[in-house]
Amino acid sequence: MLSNPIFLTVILATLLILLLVAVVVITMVLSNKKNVQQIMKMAELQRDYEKGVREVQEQVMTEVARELHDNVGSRLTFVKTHLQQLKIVNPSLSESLQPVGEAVINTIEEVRMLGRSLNSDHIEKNGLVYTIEKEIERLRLLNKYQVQWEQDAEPELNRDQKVIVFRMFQEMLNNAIKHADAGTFSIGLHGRNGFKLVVADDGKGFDLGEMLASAKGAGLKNIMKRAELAGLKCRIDTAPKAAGGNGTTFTLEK
Amino acid sequence: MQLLLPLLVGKLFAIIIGIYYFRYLPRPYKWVLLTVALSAFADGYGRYIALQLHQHNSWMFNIYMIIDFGLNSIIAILLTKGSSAKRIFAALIVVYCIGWATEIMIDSIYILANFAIVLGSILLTVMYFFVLINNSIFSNKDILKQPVFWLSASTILFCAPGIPYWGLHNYLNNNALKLAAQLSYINVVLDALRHPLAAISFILLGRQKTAVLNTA
Repeated sequence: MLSNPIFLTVILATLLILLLVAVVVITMVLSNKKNVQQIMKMAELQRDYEKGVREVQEQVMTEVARELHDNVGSRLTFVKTHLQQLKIVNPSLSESLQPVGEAVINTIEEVRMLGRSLNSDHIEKNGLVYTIEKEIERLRLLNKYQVQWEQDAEPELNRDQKVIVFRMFQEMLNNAIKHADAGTFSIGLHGRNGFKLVVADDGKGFDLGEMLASAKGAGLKNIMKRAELAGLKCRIDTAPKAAGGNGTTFTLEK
Repeated sequence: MQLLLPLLVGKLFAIIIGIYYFRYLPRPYKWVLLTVALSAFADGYGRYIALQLHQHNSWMFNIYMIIDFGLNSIIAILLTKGSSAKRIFAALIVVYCIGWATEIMIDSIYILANFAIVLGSILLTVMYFFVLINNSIFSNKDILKQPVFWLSASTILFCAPGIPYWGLHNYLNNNALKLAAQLSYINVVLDALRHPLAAISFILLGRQKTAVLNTA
């Protein structure tokens, strides 16, 4: 059989073609592997870079918070003390100084709360439930919004995740106030059976696909990217009011 | 019968897997399943004609080969991105049909159109290499986890190495029948490999879709 030249020619030609096919396919697989590795490396570098940027942002915000507390806060406290002294020294001014005193006290409280909201160490120290509660308190103080708030337990998240969740929460509120003209918020933070944060507003809603495709959707993309970075799932349910929408609901889950 | 068994096992395996994941298969892969079923039918019926009815079965394989080429080309068109490539593939179908018709007219429908098989194999190899490059090589996902890779590999692996055998098929059948029988194992091995490889693409598609459904 092997001495037959036709048999040998066909077998060798078949094997040669098989070899060629194998070489081409293996080359493709190897080149794809290299490509995938490169893309993964790039993604890792991008993640590291974003993490670095986030850390710097957090540091800056912590610095600003400290500055607010130590500098602006103490100056305001000095003003408050001075006003109290003025009232004692000159009781006739007491009535006219009363609104100024109240404004100073309110400002001190606001600065203190703003400082807390900027300081990520505060989130780690007091937990997510407490920090979000304080943020809601800040919102309520504006006397413009109605907020329904419920929580069951502190969620089991690491420090980075907590900071990211809190910043996302701030971004969600900010978006609802700035762009959606929302008046009522319903906020739920659940940590008992896994982490879940729900932020719903009664604003005008938007077309999600259109928004993500346009340049206006940068904040939204940022929220989604942050969720991805923290290893969390983010769902956005929304539709424009004209299209029968009923506000916007962000759901963040582990 | 000895030759039929590995062929049918491979095809049946692919058909069972294809039916199991049928609802998750995109349109081109449903066509692939159809080609596997047609191939199983052609093999089984061809052997029935030859062994039970003691008649020539070449006419049936001549008809089957143009259907198989047409279906595989349509699948390649469906899997290709870019309208110019699709147009070129459509032109290649026309080229093949002309080649097939010419050979049938010159010889007869009762003689296997082996040069049409060679032409079809060359064209399908070119098409599926293009599909492979088009879909996989510049992809940022692992090529081995992509159904299109396994489908293209199965077609290329079946078509390209079989070219020398099919080129000499009729000559050997007329002049060296024993040698022709020995060399027919090449086709058996390639055909037995082809469909299980296509089945891998069904499995990958099914798993990808069920994974998506589980996380949604």
